[in-house]
Amino acid sequence: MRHWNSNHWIWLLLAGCVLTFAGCSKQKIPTVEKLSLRDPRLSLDARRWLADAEDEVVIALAGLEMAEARVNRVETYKDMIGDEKVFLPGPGNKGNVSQLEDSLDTYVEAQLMLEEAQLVAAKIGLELARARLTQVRAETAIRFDLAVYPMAPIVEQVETLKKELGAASSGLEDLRVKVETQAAQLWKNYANFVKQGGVTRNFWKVRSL
Amino acid sequence: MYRLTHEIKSNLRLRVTVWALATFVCGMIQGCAPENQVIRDQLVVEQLRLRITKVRHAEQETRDVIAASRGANYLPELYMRLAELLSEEASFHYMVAYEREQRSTKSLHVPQVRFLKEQSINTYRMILQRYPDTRLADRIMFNISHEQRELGMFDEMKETLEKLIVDYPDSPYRNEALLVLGDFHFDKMEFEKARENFDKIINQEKSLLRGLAHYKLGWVGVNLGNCKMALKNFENAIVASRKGSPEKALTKKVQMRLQGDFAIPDDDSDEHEFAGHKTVNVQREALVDLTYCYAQERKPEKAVAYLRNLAATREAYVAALQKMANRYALVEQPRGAADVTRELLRLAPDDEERLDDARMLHTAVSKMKDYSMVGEDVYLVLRTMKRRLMAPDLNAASAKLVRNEMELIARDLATKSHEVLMSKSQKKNKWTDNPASYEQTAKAYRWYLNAFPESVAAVDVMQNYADVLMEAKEYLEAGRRYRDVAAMLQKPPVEVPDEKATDTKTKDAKGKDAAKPKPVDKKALAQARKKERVEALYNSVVAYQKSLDQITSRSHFERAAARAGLRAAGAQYLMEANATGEKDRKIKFAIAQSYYDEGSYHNAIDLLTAIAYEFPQTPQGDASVHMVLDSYRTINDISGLVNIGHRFMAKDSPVNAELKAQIQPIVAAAEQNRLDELSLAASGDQVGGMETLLSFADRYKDSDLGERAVLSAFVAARASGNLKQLYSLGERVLKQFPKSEQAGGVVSTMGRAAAARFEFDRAIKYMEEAATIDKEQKASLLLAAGELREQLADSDGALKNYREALETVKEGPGAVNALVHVVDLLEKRGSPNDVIREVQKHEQILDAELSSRLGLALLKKGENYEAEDQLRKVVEGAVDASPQAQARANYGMAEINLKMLEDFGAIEEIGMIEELIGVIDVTVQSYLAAVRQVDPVYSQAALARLARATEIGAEKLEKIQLPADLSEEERTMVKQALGARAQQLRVDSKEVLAECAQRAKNSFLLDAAGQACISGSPPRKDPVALEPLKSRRSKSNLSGVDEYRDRLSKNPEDLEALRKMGKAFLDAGDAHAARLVLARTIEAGGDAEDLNRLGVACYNAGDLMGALDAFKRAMDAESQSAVKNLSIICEDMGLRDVAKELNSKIKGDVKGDIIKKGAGR
Repeated sequence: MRHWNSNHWIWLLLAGCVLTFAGCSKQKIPTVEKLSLRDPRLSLDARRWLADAEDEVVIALAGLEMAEARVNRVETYKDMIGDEKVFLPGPGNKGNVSQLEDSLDTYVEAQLMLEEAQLVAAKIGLELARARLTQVRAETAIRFDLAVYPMAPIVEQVETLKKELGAASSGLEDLRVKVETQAAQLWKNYANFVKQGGVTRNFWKVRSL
Repeated sequence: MYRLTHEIKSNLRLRVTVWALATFVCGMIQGCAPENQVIRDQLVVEQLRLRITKVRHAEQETRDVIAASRGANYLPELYMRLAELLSEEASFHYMVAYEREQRSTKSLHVPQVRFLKEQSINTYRMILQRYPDTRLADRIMFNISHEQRELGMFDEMKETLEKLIVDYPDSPYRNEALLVLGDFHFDKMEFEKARENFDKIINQEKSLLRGLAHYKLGWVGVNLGNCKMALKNFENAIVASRKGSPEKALTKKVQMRLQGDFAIPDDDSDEHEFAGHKTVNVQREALVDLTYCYAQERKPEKAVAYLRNLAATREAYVAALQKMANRYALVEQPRGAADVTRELLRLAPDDEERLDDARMLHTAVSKMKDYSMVGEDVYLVLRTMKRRLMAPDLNAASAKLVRNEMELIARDLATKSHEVLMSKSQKKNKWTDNPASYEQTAKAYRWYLNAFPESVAAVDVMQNYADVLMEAKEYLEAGRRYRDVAAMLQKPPVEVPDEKATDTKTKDAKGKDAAKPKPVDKKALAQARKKERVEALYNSVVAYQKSLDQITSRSHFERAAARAGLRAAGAQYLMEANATGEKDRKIKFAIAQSYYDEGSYHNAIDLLTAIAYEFPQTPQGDASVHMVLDSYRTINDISGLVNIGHRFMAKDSPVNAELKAQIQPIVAAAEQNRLDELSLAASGDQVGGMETLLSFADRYKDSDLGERAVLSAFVAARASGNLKQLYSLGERVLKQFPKSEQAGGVVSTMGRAAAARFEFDRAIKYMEEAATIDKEQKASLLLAAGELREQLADSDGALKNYREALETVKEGPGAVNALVHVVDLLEKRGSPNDVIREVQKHEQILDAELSSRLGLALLKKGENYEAEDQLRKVVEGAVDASPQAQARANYGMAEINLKMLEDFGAIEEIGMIEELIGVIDVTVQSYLAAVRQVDPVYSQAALARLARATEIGAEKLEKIQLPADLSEEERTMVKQALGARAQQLRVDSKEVLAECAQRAKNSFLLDAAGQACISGSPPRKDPVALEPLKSRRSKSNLSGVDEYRDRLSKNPEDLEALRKMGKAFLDAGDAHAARLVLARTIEAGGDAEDLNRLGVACYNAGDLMGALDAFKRAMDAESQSAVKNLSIICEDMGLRDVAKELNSKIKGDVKGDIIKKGAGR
């Protein structure tokens, strides 16, 4: 079972805003023709520039895929531990189960928040890479007298997405710190739980599946 | 008629009805009655009788032909045909009798046969008698012998055959005769005689009967008890039969006549294919028959290969194997029996005999205790069983028996093999060096389990199988099988049918003291099974782990399977075993390690961390710590690595001090790595990189890492051109880390960055601040700040900076440089005394640069001799003097000479005239040398002063008062000469002046010298005067230019931003700042209007020469406004002609910046 908290909604709202904004701003962006990397009218430097911009898109796509996979991994883990008691008290009801369960939930929750935030950043990163590619194509076409495009909206879009990405990335380090804090707490509780005679075999079973 | 007809019809109907009913009843009776048995003999006898009838007809026909052919040359053939027909008829009669006797015996008394055969013999003899030379003689004799044999006249037969052999040695019937004779002696047990006859056949190379003869000889050998001979002949028989017809090779069957089945051969036939005769496959028979002797003479382990080599067909091979198996069983030779039965089980048809073979194989193998092929043996036994079970004639009871028996055999073989493996003492026996192998035993178990998965013994067998696989190092498979054992033990145990229960009951009924069956303790059984299951799961984990530890190359699939299996078995074990201590620890570590090995590092990190905390200070716990760190490093999660590293190094961590010492450098390196990573991201184009880096810096704010992070952020801000952030971070460094080694560098960088943004006041402030921090760079920073101040007309501030820089370095090139700055500034301020004082204070560092300046300062003060000393050092000796120093020195020397010329006194004697002329020449030459220097100011001044010098020279010459002691004639001559010389000097003066004026007009170097030249009157005193800038009006903190400053921070060559900045400064009245910005604009590729604007800025700042130079260059670049500006300046200077000329060049309206007349003063 997934447990939603207010932080998830914030991230989703942010992602929605970004996508909505990108969608709205796209209306102003002129359609820029694709330029071939083998176009003989372009200089070698221009082709390299184009290729670099295309590579950026590919890299951003790969980054998005990886971010999605990480979110899925943590979600799966969260679902697995959500369905059953992961820790059991030892003989004589030893070991603070609820404390350890809570810290595990919080830790996984923090991990999920971080991964989701990274996913949002990766999505914006991809939009930005695409906008940059558009900009590079437009600039190249203008420089080599192949076409004329109004550059202002294109540049504006790139700058806007940069700001969006900056905003999305700025909170990541804080989330990492949060994950780290929760991890430290979890393992501290885990060590105490084991010392008190708590049973961890269910945790191992869940992690072995 | 009708009645009659009707009666007839009625009668007919009745008859038909009765007949139909009778037919039906008969049919029914016939149909219901049991079928009469068909007597097969009747049919054969009928056929034989028919043949007899046909043969008799043929005899009659032949006789008729013979009667009609008296005297014909083919008569012998007709008689022969008749004899053969008689013999044939006799044969049919015999067969009829044979059939009548139900084939019970072949020894029959049939008079008709004897009569016909005797008739036949008589007919043959008659032919030989009447036609002794007939070509049919050998055949006739052979036929006679055949009939004699049929009639039991063996002596006569022998005589006839011997005569045939002797009389017709080349006859094709010779070998046949020998064969019959051989058989005759063989039957009479006269083996030597038989051998002689067979040998005669063999000795004939081309005989087709050689194979058969060898075969017969083989049997002779058997009967003589000579197995070597027998084997040799059987082998030869097979080989000879193969060679019998090269065209047909091995497929050819040699035909032969068996005793008692003779027929008349076709004498033309090369192959002796006697139609109707029973044939024998010599190759097959020889192969089968040789087995008896082979078992005695040869090694049993080679029997199978031997037979396979000789066998022409599979059928022959199988037949021989069967016989061989029986033979070995009889002589109790287990090696041979095992090999042969294995081959039989492989190849022989699926009939009941195979079960015997399986039993025999089991017996043989068990007797030998050689289980080296037990895997295949079990496979063969079970395959035989399966095939037999499919037999349609097998009922359920029999099938069960077969099944049970074979199950026992298979289990016995496999377990006995396992026992041998386990028993060290039975490694070797007389039958084999390697009685068992793990691979074969594992195979045997596998086949067993495939065949009997539900067997009562299946669990035990599976357990054994897994154990054997472990021993065979087939760990992956062993792991799987142990899991199978665990799974089987989870199911309820298979109920064992208690076959003795019935007996027990019976016994009970009889009242005997039969022991009651012990009640099964189900709880104890369940506990035992659970214990076994847990053990199996543990073994499974161990096996999987060993599989993963194997260095041998495993496929990806196998590795993945092993890991998955390990985790599943491990989890099951943990859930069921309630294990504690070492086993628990090992299992958990194995699970975690499987994730680590397969590259699932996120899972591995969690589980290995759990182990580190759960089992601290154990081998697994310590290894987990390292593996966690390595996992983070592998996935390049440096942040995670740093975090976990700190956690492990914390006070309450489970890690011991030694391990902490090991991971400390790893964590430190990771932190630096993380910082580098973030710095790289921040300095690149990656959005958000700076924020992350600053968050990192905040996190480590009290450590060196925090300092390095802020410094990296500072560098990144510099690289990205974000100057606001740069200043902010720079201030943060100074505030947060005031003792940082990089503080000076940070402030100086801020100063340079500010200068690049034309934030001059800020730049000066930072540079001076940096100078107080960074002692090494202090002098250069102060000089840079001073230069900026000087350019901004803060002469006092600049001088202070320069002097402080000079005090800092004191000696060396740095000191010279600082002193030059000081002296230059003093020079511009027009205070030669200060120059002299400053230089003389630092006499120890005096060089050509400073000497040239000191010389000119001394000259200005009138200390010509001291000046000459300094200037001469530069002109004559200083190789390192700069062109400017050279220009100054030459000009100064020329000025000294001119002073000497001016001061030249009255001529008191004629010799002084020559001296005067010499001074004039030296002065002219020294000015000419100064003119040739590259410095335009001193060059132009020298040219102007040259005009003045020649003028003075001319005046001096013209005003000479000649000595009185000269004669009139001499006086006239001297005066004429001096006059001419003076005249020449005046001409030269005018020319030089014109040249100077032209040069000034061309270059618009309209300084005092230039203006004097243009006005036509050479300067009467030294025209070189470096004018200071005007005081600065505004400061550089303009508003509205931040955008351009930011752009310039990112791209200092941004021409548009430079232009905007320059114009903004100019508009704000800060001409000094504008002058610097616009000069940079020109360097960055500015155009004519930029040059014009630079000129305006220079003009407004009081740099007239700079303004003229800029306007001149702008005019050359066709700037109309520059022409206008030049004309205004010329007008202001009083150079109206020049201004007029310039105005004439102006076309249309002038756009662009225009100076205000007099603003530059």
